[in-house]
Amino acid sequence: MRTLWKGAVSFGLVNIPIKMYVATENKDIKFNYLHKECMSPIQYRKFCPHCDREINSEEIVRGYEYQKGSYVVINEEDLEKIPQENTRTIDILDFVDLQQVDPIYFDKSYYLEAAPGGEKAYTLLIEAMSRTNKIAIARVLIRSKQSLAALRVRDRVLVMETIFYPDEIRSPAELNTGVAQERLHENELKMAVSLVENLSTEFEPGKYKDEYRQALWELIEAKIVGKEVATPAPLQDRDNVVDLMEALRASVKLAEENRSKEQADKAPAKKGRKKRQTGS
Amino acid sequence: MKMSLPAKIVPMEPILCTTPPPDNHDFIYEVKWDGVRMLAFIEPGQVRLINKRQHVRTRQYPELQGLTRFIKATTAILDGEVIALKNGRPSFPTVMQRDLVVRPETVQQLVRHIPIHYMVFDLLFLNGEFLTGLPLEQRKERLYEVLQPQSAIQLVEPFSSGQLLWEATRKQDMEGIVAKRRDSPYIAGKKHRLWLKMKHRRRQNCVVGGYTLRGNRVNALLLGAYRDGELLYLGRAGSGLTEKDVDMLTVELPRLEKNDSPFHNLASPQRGYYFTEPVLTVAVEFAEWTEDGHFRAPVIAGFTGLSPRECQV
Repeated sequence: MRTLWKGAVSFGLVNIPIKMYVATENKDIKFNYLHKECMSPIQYRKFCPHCDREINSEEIVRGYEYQKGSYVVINEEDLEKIPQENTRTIDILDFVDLQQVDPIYFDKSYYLEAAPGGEKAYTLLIEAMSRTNKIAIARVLIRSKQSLAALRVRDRVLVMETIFYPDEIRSPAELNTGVAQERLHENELKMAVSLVENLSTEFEPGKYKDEYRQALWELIEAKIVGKEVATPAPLQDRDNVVDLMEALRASVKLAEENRSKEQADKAPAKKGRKKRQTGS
Repeated sequence: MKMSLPAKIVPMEPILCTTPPPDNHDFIYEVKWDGVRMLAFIEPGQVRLINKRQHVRTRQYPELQGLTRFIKATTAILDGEVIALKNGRPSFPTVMQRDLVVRPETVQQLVRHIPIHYMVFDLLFLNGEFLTGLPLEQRKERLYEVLQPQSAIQLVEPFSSGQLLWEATRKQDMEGIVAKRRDSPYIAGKKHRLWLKMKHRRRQNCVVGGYTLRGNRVNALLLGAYRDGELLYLGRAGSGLTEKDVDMLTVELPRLEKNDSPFHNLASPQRGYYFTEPVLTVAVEFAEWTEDGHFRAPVIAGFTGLSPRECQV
């Protein structure tokens, strides 16, 4: 896996150097958009409608629209003025029980691995967290962006879940129906409960597959195969590395023969005399 | 004492020499297969592939999972080079088309379209024991005993004459040779004089797709070649051009000028780059491919009469 970030987890006076990796990946099949007529991949270009021309990235600045059609420009220097501790750290603030953090808070998952020199402290931290069954709430500073995270131990590896700030979680009160207040019959409830119990099982992630992706892929593959029949692409001969090795051996042998011939020619006197002697 | 497989080993590397030293019985000589260096960590039911930079490449080359069936060992670590052929020769740009793809569907496609071969030359660990302290010759003997070559897995053959192999690899248009002392231990993570490598200059026919200027005169040519119908940018070169060449190009190239980049992988506009219709073809000599598929130390060897579409990479 590619290291996403290097930094440190700090907890009290302990500072643990770590490397961070993205823990999940999206496997959606990606499409390109093509011009129907010529099948060329289309391009997205940055265009200014006022100046009526395409513009370069150097000509672009960041603006905040504070009221319709009015912007304030925010450039890099402005952003640098915001006081930030510019350390590359994950600061543990508190330890809490995992059950206390609702899954709605979880955003993205990352693996944290001990960087050289941090192995001992890393092991200590995961051991202590495992024994107490706690997770850590931490403040993370990555590339001057501050976010909140939960650190937990999974398969003896520290996993960091970035979590939303409370004001980023929408209230269910915004839903139209509101919270269910319907009156229920005891029999209906019994049936529903028994249905739930019948479908209850252990969570085995391996048994859930993205069936849509699989079907989509089969469709794409069938089209590709169909195209191959129309314009047969020269499939490479799997074994021609063997031919190449053979050609090389022959080449070496030929050079060897040439060389011994040359040497024989260079020393004709000696050989010639010998021949004559045996001949007479 | 039996040991479990180590997680990582940094491969031993040869020192670069310009020409092969005189043949010496203390050395064996091998073809330098032009591909990506790969260690295979073999355990029952699984093979892990790790490259020179310690990145995991297991998912990129699923055909090498077959190693468990062709090796008579419970645990082993092999060292070798993953190569892909193009026009019957190992091609680094071709194997690089496989090396970064991890999406399983695409990998499956590529397994069929760009077959790879693992050219194995060393055995570092066998059935719970490190062999790195043994002389190279003995490690090779053990390797030949346990590994059964088949199409995707091949053994690199040792030759006794470096001079002859150097000639043969030049004739066969291959990258070069490696000389290794017969008694050399495997010194992980080191460039060591016990192993030496010698490389031929490489050659590629290119299409000129643009140029840069110094003052008012052409300074360097932007070079590319076709793959799957698209012109790929491969680098720029100015050395090799004579004053007369530059005079001619300074007059002719602006006549071919166009606004957009003809290169598929080089977006326009680029500062200081002038693009042209891709019509002029040149032969380019270079030291080796960089990891991002560009020329290292390219020199223009001369103009060719090839049509642009004949310049394939």
